[in-house]
Amino acid sequence: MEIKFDRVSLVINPYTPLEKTILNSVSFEIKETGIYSFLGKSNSGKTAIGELINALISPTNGKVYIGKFINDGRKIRKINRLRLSAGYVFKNPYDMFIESTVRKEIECGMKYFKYKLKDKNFRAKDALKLVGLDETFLNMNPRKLNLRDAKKVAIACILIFNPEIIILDEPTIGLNNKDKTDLERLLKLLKNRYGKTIIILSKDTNFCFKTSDYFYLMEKTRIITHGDKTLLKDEEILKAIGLEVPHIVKFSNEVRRQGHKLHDYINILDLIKGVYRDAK
Amino acid sequence: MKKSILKYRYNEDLEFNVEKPQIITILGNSNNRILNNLLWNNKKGNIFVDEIEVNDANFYKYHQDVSFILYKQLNIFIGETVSDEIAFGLESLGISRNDIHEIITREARIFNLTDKLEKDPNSLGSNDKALVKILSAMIINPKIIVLENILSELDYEDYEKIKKIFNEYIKKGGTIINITNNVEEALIGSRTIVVCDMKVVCDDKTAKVMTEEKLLKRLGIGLPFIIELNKYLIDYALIDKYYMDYGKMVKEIWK
Repeated sequence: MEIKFDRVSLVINPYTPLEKTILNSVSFEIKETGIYSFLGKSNSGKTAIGELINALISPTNGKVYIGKFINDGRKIRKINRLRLSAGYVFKNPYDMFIESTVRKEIECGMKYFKYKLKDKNFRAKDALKLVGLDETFLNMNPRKLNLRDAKKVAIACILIFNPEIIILDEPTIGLNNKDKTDLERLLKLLKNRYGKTIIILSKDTNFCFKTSDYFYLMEKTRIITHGDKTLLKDEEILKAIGLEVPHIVKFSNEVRRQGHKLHDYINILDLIKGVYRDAK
Repeated sequence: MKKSILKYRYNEDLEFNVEKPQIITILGNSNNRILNNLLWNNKKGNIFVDEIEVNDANFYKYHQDVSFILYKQLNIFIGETVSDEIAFGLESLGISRNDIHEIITREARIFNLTDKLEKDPNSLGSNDKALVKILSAMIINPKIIVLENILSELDYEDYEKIKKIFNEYIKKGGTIINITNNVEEALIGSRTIVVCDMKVVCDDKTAKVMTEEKLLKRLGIGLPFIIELNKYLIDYALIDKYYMDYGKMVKEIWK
């Protein structure tokens, strides 16, 4: 499914003392399936891009094309079809929960979009198993979960109605190291086997450097540059925006600065083998 | 004999004692229950502040000494502007209006919030919301601060700045307890406690806890990147001790 932004700008509370510009003539185009990530500091307008694709807000200028739908401020006919094909996971998972148990919360999406299936029961367990939780969570209250489990339940709520586009807003806050590798494996499975388009809005460059194929760097309401993984190997751009340089890139740049040869690596085990080959 | 600042006990298995001001990191899978017991003083647990037990009579005094910053309350604000929000703690202590204005302008310069003092707190970004929460907790000079997952909201530049502010606060005699899941934050503090199913597994200095590699990987916590890199290099016999700086490490490998 194609996504296209055509000179989109967004201003909230216009002609009042609270006026604030959030996006300023942003345009980009996503055609193929894959994992795309938008990196930037807070207040750079990442969350607004996710909300515009899901049509929760409408732009003040410009047009957003999502497949055959157009979001440009006028009324969208059959808006539920749009939301069925684009799932959006909130940054704060407690904003998302409305029901009293996890089972009702997960099945809520299927009920809202009028999915007709006999084995609903089977399906809720499957969605929980994908994100790494077991059946004992089905009868708990979602608002009393801790942050680590609530983040996983929020992703399961989206996976159950099988959308074509998945948007994740800051997915790594509150997760530990093992959960991050599990999430990485899940995203690659969704991309390779089921052909989904995944959009990550984050400031965690270490996680995005491992998973994503294509990067957009944002600063103060606009997109500055875009490119593939060689973009994150440039330390000067990242420092100018105010982002952290990934640990592996920092180490291998230090090696090259002192005059030794080293290839580019993503995984730490491959890096050690490369260092050993050159040093001995 | 040294006087203890904070002593916490729950059901004979979970117990820790703080004797000198420092940053303590708590890692593990029962973070939520430890936090709730510290907030509301459970019947099974005992809390001692300055060797006086906390009960119903001195519960309000306990919340003056200890201030909490939680992830769930990140979007809840009392005041209409940011300066009202920060002044709330000082007003309830009965400090005069001129002094409050002086203190806020001095502290806001350290946190880089000077041009945001007259704005509505709900219109700020998530990085500035976390900074306002930390400032409004630190401004009344409490003995102990408890943080829960709040440092992961900060940008990289502000994260480096907050480290320096915490180190100055400890020199004045404060204590910080950081309850988190991210193992990279353990490198800020000098002491680390690992808790599994409400039992203390490991309680020592951070450098000693990081040597227990098998235990940390089985619990799913993992290791920080620079420690993991050092471990692999020692296994391959390229270096013979730990280096916390990349420049010195590279010089040692290609001797």
